[in-house]
Amino acid sequence: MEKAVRCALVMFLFLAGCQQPADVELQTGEDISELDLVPVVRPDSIIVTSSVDTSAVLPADQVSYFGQFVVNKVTLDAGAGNTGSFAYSRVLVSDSVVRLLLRKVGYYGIDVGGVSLNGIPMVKVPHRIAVRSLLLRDTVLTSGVEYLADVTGTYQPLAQYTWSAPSTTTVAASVSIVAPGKLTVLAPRGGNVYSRAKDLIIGWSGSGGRLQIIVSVYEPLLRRSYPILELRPRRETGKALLPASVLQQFPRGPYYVFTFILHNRKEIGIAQAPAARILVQAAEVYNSYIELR
Amino acid sequence: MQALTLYGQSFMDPRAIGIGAASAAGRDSRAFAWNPASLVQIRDWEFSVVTYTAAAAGKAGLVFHGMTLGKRFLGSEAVALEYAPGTQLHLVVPPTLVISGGTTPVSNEREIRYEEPGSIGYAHRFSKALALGIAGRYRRERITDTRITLIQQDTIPLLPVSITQSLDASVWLADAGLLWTPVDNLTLGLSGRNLLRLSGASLPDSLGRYRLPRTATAAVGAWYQPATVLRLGGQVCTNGAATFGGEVSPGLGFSLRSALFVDRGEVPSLAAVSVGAGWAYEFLEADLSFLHFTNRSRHSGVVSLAEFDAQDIGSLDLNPFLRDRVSFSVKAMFGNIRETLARIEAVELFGAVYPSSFEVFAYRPIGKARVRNIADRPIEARVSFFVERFMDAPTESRSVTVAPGATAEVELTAVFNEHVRSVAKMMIREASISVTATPAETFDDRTSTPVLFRGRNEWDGNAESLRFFVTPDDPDVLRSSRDILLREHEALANIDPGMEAFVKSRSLINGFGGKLMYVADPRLSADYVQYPAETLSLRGGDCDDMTVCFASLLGSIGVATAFVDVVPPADPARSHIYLLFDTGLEARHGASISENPKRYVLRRGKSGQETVWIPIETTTITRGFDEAWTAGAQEYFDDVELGLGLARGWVRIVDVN
Repeated sequence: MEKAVRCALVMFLFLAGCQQPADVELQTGEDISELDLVPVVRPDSIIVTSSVDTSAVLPADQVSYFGQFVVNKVTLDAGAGNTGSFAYSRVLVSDSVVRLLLRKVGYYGIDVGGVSLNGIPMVKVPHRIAVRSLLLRDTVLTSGVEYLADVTGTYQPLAQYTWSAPSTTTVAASVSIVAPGKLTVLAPRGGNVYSRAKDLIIGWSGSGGRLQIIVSVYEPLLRRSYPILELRPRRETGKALLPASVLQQFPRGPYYVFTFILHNRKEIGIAQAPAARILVQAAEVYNSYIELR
Repeated sequence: MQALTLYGQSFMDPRAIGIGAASAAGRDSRAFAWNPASLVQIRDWEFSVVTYTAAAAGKAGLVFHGMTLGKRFLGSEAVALEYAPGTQLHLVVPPTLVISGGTTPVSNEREIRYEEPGSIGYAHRFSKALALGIAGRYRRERITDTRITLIQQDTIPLLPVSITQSLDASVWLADAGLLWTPVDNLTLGLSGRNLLRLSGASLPDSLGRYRLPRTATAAVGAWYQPATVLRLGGQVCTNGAATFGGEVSPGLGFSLRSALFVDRGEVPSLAAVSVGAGWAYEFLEADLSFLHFTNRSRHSGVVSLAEFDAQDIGSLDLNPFLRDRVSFSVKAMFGNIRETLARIEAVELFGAVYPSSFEVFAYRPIGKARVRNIADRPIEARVSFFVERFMDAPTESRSVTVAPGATAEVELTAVFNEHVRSVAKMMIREASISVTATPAETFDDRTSTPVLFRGRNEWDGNAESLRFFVTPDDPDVLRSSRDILLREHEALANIDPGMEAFVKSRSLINGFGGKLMYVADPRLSADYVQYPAETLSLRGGDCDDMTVCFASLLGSIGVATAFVDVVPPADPARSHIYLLFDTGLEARHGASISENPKRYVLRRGKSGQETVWIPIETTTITRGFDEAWTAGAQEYFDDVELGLGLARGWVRIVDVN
């Protein structure tokens, strides 16, 4: 009996070895970042400005912020001979929602008395809301004002951009943000045709900000795009892979825009409405117009 | 990727890792996965548990490798079961996509899991030198894919969701092994893997790159013991792998081991080295080993997906992806488990057992056994001999001291019981011979040998053995002799006391002479002897029957007798036997019996005094005492006096009493 007890004790000690064996990782040979798949929410709105290729703001954000202080450098790459680049800044400060047929279509842009970007006054223009409807003809509503500036010649990566306005009770007198580093997109490059049957390699370089890749369906006749999926690289490896199995599930195109957004963002509040937030953003945006077959 | 085949055997045994798992070196239930024939080394019940340290990086702890249960039965059969959840290989294809929306991120992983969770083995020992074993292994291959699917919705154009799908394949694989021990210190092993396949579900062709190989391989190995404390072994495998190892046992139950693993598919060819240690105490054995791979970059737990090929995986326990491993095991033995100190190498029986003379084996050897001391210290060996039914208990020999590694021949004695007398016809029974080298009750080694039992009336032709047919105390003999003497009691009442033996003997012989007749053996065999009661009952017999019968009758009245065994050298087939009886008369009174000294023989009896003995030819006894005496005297004179048979050895006189 004593023998059996001693034996059982020793056996128990060994049976206590309950760890799992180590896994063996099969690596692709390259340091590829995982991509977080984030669904793009289509808000219950008919706000037309739902594309992200120039605004670099997702539709849900477009309707959730009461205003925007934005400076974007945008590159449009549709292949050799069809590329272009520009930079702009836009300021919109709202204090009320604009509705059409009881539906929220945008915000009313208030006049804050003049805004300057890095000391250079911005141009005050009417704030227009484009409305697209099945019942009504597409139309544009003018709803207050907004401020624009063309900074194509002056935009610099990693530069600080400061918006200044006369002190009002609505927003702070001055708000700043640092632009991200230079964004270079290696793949997919615009104008190329890729196979849905093969994994799509995504390559980029750029730092100093967070990267979003927005996949949009592009309608060339209407020159419109609408986002369908957001990809967020988990690591700054400069390379990611979109499996063919996912490509095959994209809506029938065949044209798509891969919008790389390297951005720095922050939010500021509005004194009268604590829940209301204003987006402050500096971003480099690169749009690759590609074809998937 | 180059294949790492090393050695396609299960390594669920630290000792196997320590010595390189030479297929001839197995000694217990843990070894049956390298060579199923090793199961025959199991002593009785065995149970072992194995763990190893090969958890994921940053996670300390032991992995439960498995357990085995083994049992030896019927002396030469053994079975074992192995449950080895740790015999597995889990590969993960890294994800490219992640869905982080829920509480736990889900990624599009592919997991490939190979398992061999169960084995069963059986072995049979054909002889001390040869054993064969077979084993079956259950293998499962499972591929689990977590796929990302995009669902189109109204408010969300594409909603990523995950779907997990598993595909399974399973197969039973059969192995076989052979152990051959041509000499005491050398064992050769031959093992074959994947010899037969019984497939269940299989992976689809699209996942063919993940199918494990099922090709048959063979390995041949040797395990050599040049000295008591040293054992060396090696093995080569048809898949291009080889191992070389050794084990040193300095004493006190400790063993130290080391091995080299060579593989032509590895760079460098010396793929791995191992060291190990073991300790045995009473019913427990503990083993420890460390396996180290020389190619550090390959055995890092990471492998290129592009180069991955499941065909490179020769064994789940020793594969191209294995990291360095420390293994522990504990084995517990139950039943007849103590260390074997002695071994019976040979048994020789000197002849058959004649029921008539079975008592002689209580003091005269029935045979001998050659015993080897296989321990590292001197032993006191005792050998027991036992035949069921014909012996009440094993008869143990005297104790013999045997030096380490030496052999000794131990004489076997046997105390049979009365059942031997009931053997009517020749038969063969199995005798169990066991050697015990310690005071313990259990034996160290046991063997069996056939024993020939002759029929109760069979005789080996030796006059010495014929004595055992003489039964003066048999009731029938006693009654018969008393009846004769009683009828002549008046004539015998007044005889000279010195002549009493002679006169009574004459009366007995005369009394029976007319009742018995000479008849040849019913089987025409000289080796068939009737017991006196049978001769009296059958009223006749041949020369040895009559000689035995009258020796018994005379013995029943206290007259000493002797056989005269004559084997003429010129014609041994004419061998013959007749009787002498002691008159008790001193030699100087011989004339009172006969004036002719050639009619009697002067011999020294038990008292040491020379007395007068009368030769009786029992085959002529039917014609009366005088005729038998005359014939006996004539024969004695011819054989001994003229032929000098006694001096030349072809005449022997064997005292019956």
